[in-house]
Amino acid sequence: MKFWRAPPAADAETHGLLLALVAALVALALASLAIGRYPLSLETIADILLGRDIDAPGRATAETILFLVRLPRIATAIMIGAGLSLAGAAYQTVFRNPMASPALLGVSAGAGFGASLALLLHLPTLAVEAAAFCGGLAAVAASYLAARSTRSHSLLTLVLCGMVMSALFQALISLVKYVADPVDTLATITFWLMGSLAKANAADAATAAAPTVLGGAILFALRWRIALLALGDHEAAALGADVARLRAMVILCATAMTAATVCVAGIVGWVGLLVPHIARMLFGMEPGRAMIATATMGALFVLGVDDVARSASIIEIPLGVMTAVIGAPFFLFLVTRARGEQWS
Amino acid sequence: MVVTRAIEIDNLCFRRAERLVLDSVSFALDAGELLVLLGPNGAGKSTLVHCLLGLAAPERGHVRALGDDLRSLTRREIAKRIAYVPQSGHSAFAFTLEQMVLMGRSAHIDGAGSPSAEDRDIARRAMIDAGVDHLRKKAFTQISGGERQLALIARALAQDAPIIVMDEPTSSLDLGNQGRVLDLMRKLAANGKSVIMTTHLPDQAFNLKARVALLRDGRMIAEGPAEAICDLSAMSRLYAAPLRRLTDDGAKGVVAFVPDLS
Amino acid sequence: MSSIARLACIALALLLAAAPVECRTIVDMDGRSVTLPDKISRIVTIGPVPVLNGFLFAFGRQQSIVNGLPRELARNRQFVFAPELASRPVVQSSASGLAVEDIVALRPDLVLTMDRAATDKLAGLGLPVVMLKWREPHDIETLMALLGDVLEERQVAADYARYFEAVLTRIETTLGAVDETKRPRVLYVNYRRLTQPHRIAEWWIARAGGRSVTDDGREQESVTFSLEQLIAWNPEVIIVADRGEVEMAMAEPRLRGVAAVRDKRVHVAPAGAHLWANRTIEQPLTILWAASTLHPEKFSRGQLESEMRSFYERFFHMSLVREQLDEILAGSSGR
Repeated sequence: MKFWRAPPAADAETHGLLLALVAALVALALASLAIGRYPLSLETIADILLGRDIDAPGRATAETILFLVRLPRIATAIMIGAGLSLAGAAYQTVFRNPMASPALLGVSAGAGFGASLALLLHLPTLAVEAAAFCGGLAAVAASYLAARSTRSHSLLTLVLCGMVMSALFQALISLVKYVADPVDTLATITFWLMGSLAKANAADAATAAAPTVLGGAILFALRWRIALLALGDHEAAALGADVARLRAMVILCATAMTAATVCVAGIVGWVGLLVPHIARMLFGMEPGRAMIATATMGALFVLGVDDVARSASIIEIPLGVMTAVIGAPFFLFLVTRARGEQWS
Repeated sequence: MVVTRAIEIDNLCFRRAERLVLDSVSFALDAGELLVLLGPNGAGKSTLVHCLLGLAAPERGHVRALGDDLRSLTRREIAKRIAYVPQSGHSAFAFTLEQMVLMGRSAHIDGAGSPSAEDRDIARRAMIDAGVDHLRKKAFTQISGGERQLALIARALAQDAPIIVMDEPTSSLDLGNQGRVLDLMRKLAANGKSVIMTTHLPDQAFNLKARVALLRDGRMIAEGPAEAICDLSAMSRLYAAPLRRLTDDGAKGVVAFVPDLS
Repeated sequence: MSSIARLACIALALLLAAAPVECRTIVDMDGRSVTLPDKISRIVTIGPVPVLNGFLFAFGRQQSIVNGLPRELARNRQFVFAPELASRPVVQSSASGLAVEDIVALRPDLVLTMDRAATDKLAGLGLPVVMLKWREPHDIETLMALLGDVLEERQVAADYARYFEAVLTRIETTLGAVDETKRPRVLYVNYRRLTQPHRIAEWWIARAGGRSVTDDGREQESVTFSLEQLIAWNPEVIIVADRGEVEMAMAEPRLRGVAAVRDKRVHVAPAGAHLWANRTIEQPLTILWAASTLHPEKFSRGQLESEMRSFYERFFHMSLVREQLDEILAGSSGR
């Protein structure tokens, strides 16, 4: 399948572009500190950040806004963007399928189901997160095994099986909701599944960051081995990769990252599908560069979208809605591009 | 003194779903030797290749590379001894040819490492040797089938293994590219590599002056120099079809077989 | 349509027309003509059940409601006003929608709804569905007048309309001209979701002498915002949906600087037949409660309690004891 016909850009050029991207992320993160519904002058922000001791009225509130409201939310958005994008890229590589993504493989729905079940049983937060991870793992395993059992080589088979699993786990979520105590548990589950960054605090940032940083570090360390998986099992093994272990490792990392984002922000689609594509288009397949670009662009995308979501109007627009509005047309664009080329 | 063979297959049996796909196959190859594996579709060539690479576990028998049973070696250790050139298929991802060749160095890179300057030099030399250096920045998805096949050979060169196994490396190539691949194989053997390839064209064995092994229904039915093994009756029996033997005064001993339609 | 089916339809129509039940036709708030039996003794309420039931309570028709409350409302205080609801079959839930066959089996003389989809679905089965609408605050008067026609209790409807206007006028008079700066900034919020769920709150907050921070003249029913927006609004009074949310808001470190939290002016909205902060038959009481919360110097607690007693006495035909009043004012317990 020839997915991207554009030749990969020359190295020197992409090095500059990559640096620019990282710089842009740092700049946007800083700028995001100044964006929000609470009016904070740049001067006040500078005073606080530089530790200038000015006893202005509203200083305490300004510090609360900066450090307890905006900073955790910015960190959470960055982690969610980077996590979903890296997870998407990882799934695409291990399944050798540019159409794979956390949402399309059913991982997000599976994680939602796992968490619902844990909430139904009134388990503590950590157990809910662990259950989300297990649910996600079950979904991706089911999608993969279902696709493999069809013995079809079409890339769409995995996507189709993923959609089936996604629908199945959505139905299971409905079932959990149905048996949940309508007075208290039901509302908790519904609210949890919706997810929102509206109240994101340091704990949310940590929940999103731990698996993303850890999983990202593992994926980055193994990036040259993981790239082998894109060649198929036999070639990868012949080149010296322990395919089964490597694949399990990558899926564990990607699923943990996805589950963490579901725990914090609910089901956010499209990021994990479209960001790795753009990263590959701009930076090619060189594992290190592709990964840094993917994480940076994912963080930029979600942070940018969330900045708009939280500041454009008094209305807080759910992140998943915003990413879908941008992501769905992009997906169609991909499908149109691929028309007439091999899709198998 | 016992001479260690480069690769040695001993009484290899492989069973898939009750069916014996390989039945007591044995052969050995020394450094600098070329072996052409001939056999009809379904004879077990691909399975044999997989067993040679340690990708399929035989039911009985051994595959030894430089004296060690593959089962006692890790994937990386195997990859340092045996390089694989698959049939060039399609790739879902647009690796550049250079990245593809660089992946041949994987066995020499530690788990969490990335290619060193030396690895890049070795890959570069492999690309030059395979004649694809001018394509190194091109996407693997954008070059021709022949160029892809040469690039995969370059990758095997970069892997720097004494044994190279090729699975129908010429099946999708035009005559010009076939020539380039065969020439490369000959040079590899001349440089001391042990090369095993599968093909459907017996004339390539003549052209390479290679040893030939005939595989039919999972059994090795004959083995030896092409001139000694590949006569008309043996080939007709092997492929279970009437064939014609073609030769020419200027062919320098190369013999080709074509289907007899009369 | 085949001619046989057409014949069957005509025959059915004739049969129905010739049925011995006395019928009359009314026009509902969606402009649909609905044929109703003369005597209405079995009523099914579909959709916002507590709201619809509340209207019927005001006509003293608790006994006529033949469906129970959806499971998610099992702890609703409506059982105080209509204990019989506890044993009625449940025919709907937010999770699984309408149990259509169960609704038909209840043989209702009247089905009350507030949304088009349910109306079309049930009317399509030949049920006498009356669709009610309450978008703008004063729609309640039109709505009660229609129900007065339907239930042939026009004097109750007129009485309610008189009461509604009288309470509004009285509050307005007592409040007097409140200077814009004396009107506290008020936020009504479902704190868990950071959502102001009902547009009607913009109206009752203004009527009670407050300024709703979410009142931007929007058309949408609800608005969801960020925590930072809440801090930026810095409301002086926050009204939440249940008692659990009071604790959550008071415990949130990031809200410490918000005036309402600092001054401990986070209140839970009372809950009677329904949450007072949402649309409910008790809306006049909502305004009085809000006025006494925002301007305690002008509206005493005693005044509010005696008004509550008289409201439930006059319309629900129930005299509430002190504990019941306290319970209503203490609001919903939360999940």
